[in-house]
Amino acid sequence: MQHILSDIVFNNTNCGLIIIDKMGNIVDVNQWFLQHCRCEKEQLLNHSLLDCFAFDNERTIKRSLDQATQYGMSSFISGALHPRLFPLFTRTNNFSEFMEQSCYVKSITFDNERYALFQIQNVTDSVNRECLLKIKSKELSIFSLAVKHSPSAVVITDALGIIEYINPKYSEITDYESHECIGRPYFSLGRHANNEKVEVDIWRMLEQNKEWTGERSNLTKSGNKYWANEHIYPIVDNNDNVSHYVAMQDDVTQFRNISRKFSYQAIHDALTGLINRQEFEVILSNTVDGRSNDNEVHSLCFVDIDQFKIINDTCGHVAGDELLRQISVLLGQHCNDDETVARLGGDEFALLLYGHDLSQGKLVCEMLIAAVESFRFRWNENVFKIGISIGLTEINSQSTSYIEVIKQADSACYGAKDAGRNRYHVYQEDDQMLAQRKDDTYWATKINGALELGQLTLYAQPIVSLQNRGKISYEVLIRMLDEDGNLIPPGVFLPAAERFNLSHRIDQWVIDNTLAWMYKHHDEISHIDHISINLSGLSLSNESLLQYIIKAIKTNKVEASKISFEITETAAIANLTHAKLFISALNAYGCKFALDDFGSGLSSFAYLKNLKVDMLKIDGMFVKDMLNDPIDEAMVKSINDVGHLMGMETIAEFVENEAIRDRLEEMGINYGQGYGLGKPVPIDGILTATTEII
Amino acid sequence: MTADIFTEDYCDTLCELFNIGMGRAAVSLSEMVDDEVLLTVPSLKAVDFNTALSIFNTNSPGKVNAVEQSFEGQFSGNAFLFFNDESSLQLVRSILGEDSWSSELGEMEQEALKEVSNIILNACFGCIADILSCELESGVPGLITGEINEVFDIDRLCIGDEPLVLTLSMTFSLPSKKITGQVSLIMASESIKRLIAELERFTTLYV
Amino acid sequence: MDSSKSVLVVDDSRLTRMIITKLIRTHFVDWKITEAANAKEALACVDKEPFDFISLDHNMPDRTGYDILPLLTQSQPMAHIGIFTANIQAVVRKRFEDLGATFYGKPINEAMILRFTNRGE
Repeated sequence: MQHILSDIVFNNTNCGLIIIDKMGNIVDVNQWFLQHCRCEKEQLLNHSLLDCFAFDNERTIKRSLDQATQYGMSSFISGALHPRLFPLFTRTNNFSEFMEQSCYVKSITFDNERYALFQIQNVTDSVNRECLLKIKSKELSIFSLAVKHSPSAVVITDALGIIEYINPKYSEITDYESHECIGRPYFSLGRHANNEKVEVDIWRMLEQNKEWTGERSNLTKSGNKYWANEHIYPIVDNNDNVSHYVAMQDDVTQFRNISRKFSYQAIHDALTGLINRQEFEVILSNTVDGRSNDNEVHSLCFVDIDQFKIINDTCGHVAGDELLRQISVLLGQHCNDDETVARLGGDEFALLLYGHDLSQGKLVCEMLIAAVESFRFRWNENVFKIGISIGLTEINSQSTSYIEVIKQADSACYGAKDAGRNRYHVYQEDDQMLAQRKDDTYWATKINGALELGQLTLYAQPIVSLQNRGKISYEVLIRMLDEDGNLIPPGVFLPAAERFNLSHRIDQWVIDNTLAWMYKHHDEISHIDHISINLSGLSLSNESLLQYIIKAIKTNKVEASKISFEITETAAIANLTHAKLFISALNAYGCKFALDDFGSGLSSFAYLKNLKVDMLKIDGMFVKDMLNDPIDEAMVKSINDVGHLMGMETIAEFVENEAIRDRLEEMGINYGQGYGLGKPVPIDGILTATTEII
Repeated sequence: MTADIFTEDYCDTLCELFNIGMGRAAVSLSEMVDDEVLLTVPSLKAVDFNTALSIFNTNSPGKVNAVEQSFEGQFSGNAFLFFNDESSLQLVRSILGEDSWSSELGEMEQEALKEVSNIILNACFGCIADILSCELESGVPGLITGEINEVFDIDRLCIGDEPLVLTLSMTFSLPSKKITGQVSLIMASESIKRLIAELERFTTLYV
Repeated sequence: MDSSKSVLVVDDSRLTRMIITKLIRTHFVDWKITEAANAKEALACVDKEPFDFISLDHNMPDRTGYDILPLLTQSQPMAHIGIFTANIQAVVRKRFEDLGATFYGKPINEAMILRFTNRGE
């Protein structure tokens, strides 16, 4: 009975059973096994197990068999290491899907003999689930890692906004640890007063299943404010219900700071912290263009530090920078909110006085000058007095553009300098003409250098008598040698010298050296009638120079009558009073005076009555073309006539050729000077040369 | 009966038998991992149950994966081969390949672990049975995962009042990985006596 | 085979030393047998006297048999060295054979010992 029951059991199990004897032959095999493989019982029974099936790893099977039949040991053959051990299929009727198997080999004893019982189980579902799980797991791992290592902070909350997960970046930004966040409402972390309203807005959007993006500030755990670009979006399940929210934050605090820093640096001067030129021009432009009505006026001041260059040169750049800083502080202190101070560059500052008319502007200028007056710049052991030159102009209904206004203030500033510095000057129409200094800066430096390094040299050009065979005279000309020894003509550097108030220094140099030369060669110049020295306009008004000349004449024991001075008509007119004094003083010593470039100015001959000069030099402009241009010739003639009438001799400049010379002689002009008569030569060359008197 | 009954000599003898068994297991193992298996000298200790638990907790703290096999014949008891999480993972990874994303043992990994452990234990027992000329049968292996106290639950084991534990610590490594497994035999006192008797019988041959 | 030979048995297992000793003595009563329980002792022994045979274990507590094999060969060029180790993996066998030793493995039986003492006959 029992025997039969176990037979029934044997063939009704839900797993495969095979019994192998110690020879390795199949003794029995159950129904389950037969149904799941494409075999008949007869094919298997009494055959060797190893012959019936092709095993991937025979050694394993042999080992299991040996252990079971010889030693009574059981073993386990896993599906993991030995997939699909037997050729079994999951369905009994169709053989499409292979069965994944797991096999136990148990040792059983029957009739004093040991047998190996193979128990095979179907683990296909399990294996498939496992594979899927592995795939999902791997995917999940990848995505988890992506979130974990995201450069953005990621927070995942449930549908109510309670935090379930934070990634490491969030901790990095906020200093909150995971355990401090999980279970707390998202908005509760780092909340500060301003957030409440925004939070309401955000929830409103989220409730409509919309996403929210915006920049918001929060507090870190330690209470520091940070700015984040935030993006919150919902995750919905299959029923379209929100199951979670994902909040991502990108910390933009640094970016904002850098932006602000750039913005600050873009409009502020690095050294003084004042607004820079670029920004000031923008402000000025807006002010000029934005004037709402004709009554709206503003004032613009350009401020220059008078001694900046000296301090920079004497004490060094560091001192110069410090001076600029201190001045900018001073300017700032004396200005209100409606006054914008800017540093334009170098030692130039600008003030935009909003709503100030000219009279108010003047008050401001006076106040600033007074403030600087009492200011002392200390550097090492030195104390310097500083002065400022201010150009003031009004922005009103006549102002067309900010560029024009700038030019006006600039000219006015130059005017202040020109008038002697340490003052302010209100813009006037003709200030423009004087403001050409920019290009001449180079020359100013050069001239200074030349004067110090002795790169100036004297040349002389003959003035030839045209009417009688009189003695020859010479005009002393200054030449500058550059570092390569090349000659630089005065027409290039003298105008600069004028503008930079260096003319008198040049004049002084010329006078010194000419008189010294005359003294040195006093016994070789008997053939020369007189030597003519040019004087600049500034020299005329220079009292000390006058004294200097008188002294020089006396000291150098030079014959005063052998010296004549040339002053331009323009210079004389500009400094009429001084000119008159100068002339009369030196006349008294016996020096002669000539008016240079006569006829080029627009003055009337009436001035001539007041100026007791000895000679008129007709502007070469007229002489040059007089053979071709009748008007020019007429000019030459009339100047000659008037001159003679007033008891002056006339000299024609720019006599370029023989034809002109002849004509001049015909007209009665007394002297001629020009390339046609003699080129300028180094002064030493006039000693021995006996110019052919043509 | 105390652990003193198992003298140093018995320890040495049994240890050497395991060593030889392990040598055989290493051959099968090296085939599976396709690499040389490096064996260290095992050390055998005979201790009471509670001492055994504390030794296990020291050597393999936390969770372990244990394969259990009962054996019977001239002497009987339960044999265990267990690994901690790290070693388990290393072992299965060597056998199944490196493509393992999870840090946990899935079903496949557990199966592999069971088979490997079974091979090792069977090799050891087969060897002992061979050399001592004993009859020794073993049951099918089962896998238990959990803390030491869960695995070695005295109630579940039904070994009697004062079982003795023979602990054998074996380290086998692959050139690239270190895997430490612990073999322990838990036997009832009666069984121990019989084991000793067999060991005696054997050694007498060579005295 | 007539004269008395001397054998050095190197193994950390007392059992193994016993087995080898017993098996040799059964066939060669007058042979001198020295035991060393670890590598250090083994090296000390070979420095003192010559041996005809050395049985060597591999897995020992201080140094492995493979490690000291060259030193033994150097010190005792005339000795026949046999490896009796439980580590019977093919790579291990080959390693030893490359160094000129004869590999026997464990478990040790009489036949092995006879082969060992007859030098492979």
